Amino acid sequence: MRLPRFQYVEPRSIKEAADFLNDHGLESKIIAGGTDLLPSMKQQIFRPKYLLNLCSLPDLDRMEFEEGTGLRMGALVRLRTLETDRLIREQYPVIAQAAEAVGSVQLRHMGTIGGNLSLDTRCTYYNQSNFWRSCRPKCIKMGGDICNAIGGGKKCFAIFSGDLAPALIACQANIRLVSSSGERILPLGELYTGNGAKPLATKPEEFLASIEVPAPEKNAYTAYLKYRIRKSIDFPLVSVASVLVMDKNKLCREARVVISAVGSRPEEVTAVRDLVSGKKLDGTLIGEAGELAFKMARPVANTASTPSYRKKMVKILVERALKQAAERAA
Amino acid sequence: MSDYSVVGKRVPPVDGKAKATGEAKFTVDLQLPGMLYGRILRSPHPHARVLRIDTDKAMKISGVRTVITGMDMPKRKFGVFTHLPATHDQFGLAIDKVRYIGDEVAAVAAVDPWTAQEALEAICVEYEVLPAVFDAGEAMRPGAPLVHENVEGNISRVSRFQFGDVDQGFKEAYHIREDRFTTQPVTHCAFEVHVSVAHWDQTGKITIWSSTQSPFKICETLSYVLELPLNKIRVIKPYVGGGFGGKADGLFPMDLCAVMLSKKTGRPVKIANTREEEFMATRRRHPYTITLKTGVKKDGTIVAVDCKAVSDGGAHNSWGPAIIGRAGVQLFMLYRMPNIRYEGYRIYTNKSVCGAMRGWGNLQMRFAADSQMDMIAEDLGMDPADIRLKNAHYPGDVMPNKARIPSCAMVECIAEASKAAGWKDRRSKMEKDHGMGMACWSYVSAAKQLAHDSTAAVIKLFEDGTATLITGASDIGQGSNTTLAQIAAEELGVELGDITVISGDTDITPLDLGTFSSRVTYISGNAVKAAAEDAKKQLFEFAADRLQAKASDLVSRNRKIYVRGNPEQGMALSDVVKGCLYSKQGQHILGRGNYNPDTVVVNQVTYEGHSGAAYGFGTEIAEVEVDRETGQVHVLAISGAHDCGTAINPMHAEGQLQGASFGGLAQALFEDLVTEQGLVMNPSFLEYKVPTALDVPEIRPLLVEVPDPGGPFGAKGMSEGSQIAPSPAIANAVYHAVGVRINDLPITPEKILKGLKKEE
Repeated sequence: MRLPRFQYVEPRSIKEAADFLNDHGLESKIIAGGTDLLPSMKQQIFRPKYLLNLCSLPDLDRMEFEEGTGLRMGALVRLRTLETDRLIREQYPVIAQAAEAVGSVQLRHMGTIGGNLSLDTRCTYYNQSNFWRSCRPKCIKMGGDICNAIGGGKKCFAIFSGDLAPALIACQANIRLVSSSGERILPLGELYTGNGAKPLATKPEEFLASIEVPAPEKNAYTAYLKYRIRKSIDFPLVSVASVLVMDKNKLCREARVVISAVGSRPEEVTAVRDLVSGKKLDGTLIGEAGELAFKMARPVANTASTPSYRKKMVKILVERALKQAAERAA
Repeated sequence: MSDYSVVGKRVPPVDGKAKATGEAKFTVDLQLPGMLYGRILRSPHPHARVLRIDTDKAMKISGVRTVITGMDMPKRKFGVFTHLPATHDQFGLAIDKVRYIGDEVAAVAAVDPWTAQEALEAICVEYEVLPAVFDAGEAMRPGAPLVHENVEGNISRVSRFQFGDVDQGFKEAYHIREDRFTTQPVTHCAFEVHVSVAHWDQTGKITIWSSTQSPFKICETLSYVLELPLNKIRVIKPYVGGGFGGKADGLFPMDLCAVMLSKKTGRPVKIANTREEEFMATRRRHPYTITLKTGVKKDGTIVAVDCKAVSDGGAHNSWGPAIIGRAGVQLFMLYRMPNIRYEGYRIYTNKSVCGAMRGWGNLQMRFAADSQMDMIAEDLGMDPADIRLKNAHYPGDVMPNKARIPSCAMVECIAEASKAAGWKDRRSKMEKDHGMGMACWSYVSAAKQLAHDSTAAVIKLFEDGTATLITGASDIGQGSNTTLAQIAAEELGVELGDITVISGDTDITPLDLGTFSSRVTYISGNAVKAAAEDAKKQLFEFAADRLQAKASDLVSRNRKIYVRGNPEQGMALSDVVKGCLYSKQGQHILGRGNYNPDTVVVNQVTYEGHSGAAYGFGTEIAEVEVDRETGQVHVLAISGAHDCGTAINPMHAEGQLQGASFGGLAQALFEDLVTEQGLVMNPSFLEYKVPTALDVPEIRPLLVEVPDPGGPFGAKGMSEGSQIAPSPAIANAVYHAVGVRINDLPITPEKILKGLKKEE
């Protein structure tokens, strides 16, 4: 399979990029590594007129950390950097773990945090070649009116499978979106619409410039767990990121558990936050938390494995994440 | 071990550096001056009549040189078995119907791949969609859609045989069990896709460069289809990036399309599959449904076996009609079996074609039979190793089909694998949820499937004592250019580096069927050895005179010819060659060796016949850990013992063994070519789960070297067998670990969880 024709654009400044998107945002795709975008273009899922590469924008590949305020990462920081950087590994191990879980080493050298957060949603019936898709009716995500995964469904259930988003949401990260009319800062969770057909809340004229993560909390225990078939390459079939903050009595002060890859966006299981707050994290409580996550997850048959199995794995992974935290806190 | 100077040595492949550095050029790398790029338009329907193809729009695109359809193709059907026209069921491009999603409908040639792609999208095909059938069981029922109108019940082939008195055998049995097993379709995933470059030149000669396991089969079939003499077709096999059976058919429709596109344009045309086409439109391993009934005595001795197998063959025959028979033979090829009845059906469906794949029907049958072996052992309270020993074959055994096993080290393999894995001391005291499982296998070298198995080799000596070996064998990555050179060097008495191999060119090399059926080392190896012997005989005749000795007393070793036992008094081999060349007769040393095994094609009524040249045996022991919460199986180690005769190159042999065990593990736990209404759901390396390096444990290869009387230096086939046993070994290990028995491959976490739940 080969790439369709496109025009390549490489702006030299933030302003140039923003102005270009202002004029051509609808017919452009932003490339920030391309490990996911280019295969999709080969499959003719996208045929953008312009491919806008942000690689020459100053500072977009930089990271800054300040003890009090936290971490600021340009959108083009490589996943491999997040995985290997000592500071990230020490201060935000959950981010490093999530980065390490992406694809393969080669892909992580190319892939960026901005690209990973902006990943398109995926579906067995969508991430296929033009020829393959021609064997089935046009689906909602391709501009048709049915869902092939749920025979005759009227909604798109494509899955968000980025590894970094759940970890960063659990860390309460914000993102900075830039356009020619200025910039806006959003909690990362709000980037995701939950609509499989149009998963991102960015406007055509905007681009993701940086990610800001608050300073790590004291006595916080984190985990990122990913269920997949192979130990490398695969997208998650279920993933769970958790940040648990303990008080000095070893009681749970706050628990943020985010589940991903079982729906069109990563979602915090807020019920777990309410359940464990102020309590001691024991086996029973962990089991209840797993049950809450299990109830919230609504996977459908649009990837490998079965929905019922993936739903079960949500429970298992949430329990394992909490158990790890509890053991380390003890 | 034996006193050889080149055979049995761990030498790296002769083309290792070229491959490691990327210097080696594969068919997919070929660029010829003026070459056009071909693409194939494929059917989006599993079953449809082709009513009309409009190519006008495509032809008008600038850069498109030609578009062809079934009307432009030769009207002779073809198939793998050229000598059996009744089995031919394929055209180069659809003439009447399309029979699966991916079936070839039209082909284009253009100046670049982008234009070719654009042209494909501009071809309009009008189809009449027909009811399709996707399940072998349903396809056999009366009234099911017919994949080929002339084939009743969609039966591509039935294999039936009975040896001994099966009913009486069951009457005498102490214990009988009947189980049902199913296996999934998988595919080869060779790193190099199927690719063909063809040029039909102005002299009327066709040259094809093809990524194939069998250049001579392409030549033969093409000659048949085009009704052209064999000397008008030259097939060249450059370096090949793997085959695993997927390139064993010889002529594929894409080769024929490249040829016909070249004929129309007068230019060389290259057609390379996309990876998606590899998954959707090449070959799959047959999925099987097997019902197996086995009766045993109280001591575990098998007294009767009754087996029925149904395999889903997809839209065409390929090698399938022979494979369904081989699956049945596998039953008694491993264990002694006095009474056996087998009925195997290969069924046409509207799915991509199933054909040869490393293990050839044996893998599916062995999964069933060696899983059941463990169940029987448990029923009888026996150790799984003991019940296998009880039924093991020994050298000289004559199987029920009257075929004799010349060499067999099955008992030794069970012992070696058991020792390496710690079967006796570790198995009974494993950690919780850990398990160890055993399975055995056997595999035939050079099973006779076609009209002949004849081959030859030529060895040509230079005046400095080096030589060129010309062999018809096809090195597709398995290393035959190295092992055949080792055989030639050993026999001739020179060093490995003194031999250059020329292979894979039908204009130059002698006829050879190709690389499949674990035949190359045995068949081509015997021919190479004979060629070297012939050259040596010529040298000895000359040297005998000079050394004033009898030719029969001479030895050639380490580049020297001397009287046996007296290496100091001899001549440099190069001096002997020079002597011959510069003599009055100007005698050039050209050694010629033929080989055709004394095997026969199995009698298609009695199923009797000595159809295999040799038989390899082996034992694999898998150690697993099962995660009770997720159901995931982690294979911790595989110990594989292989009775391979003499290992010509132990390093290659170990690599083959590890690769085959890897393939078996992949089929046991990971790979599954899923289709939905005939459409392959996972046609990519992202979604088709070939295990990664991280998913594969240490595979301990154990070579059990007992020379075979018929093989060159005692060698026999060793490339396929180890793929057979990992699936039953892993299934048995899983059962040992958590008590869950999985009878349908692949063993997925879901099935394990389901089994665990049932157990509670």
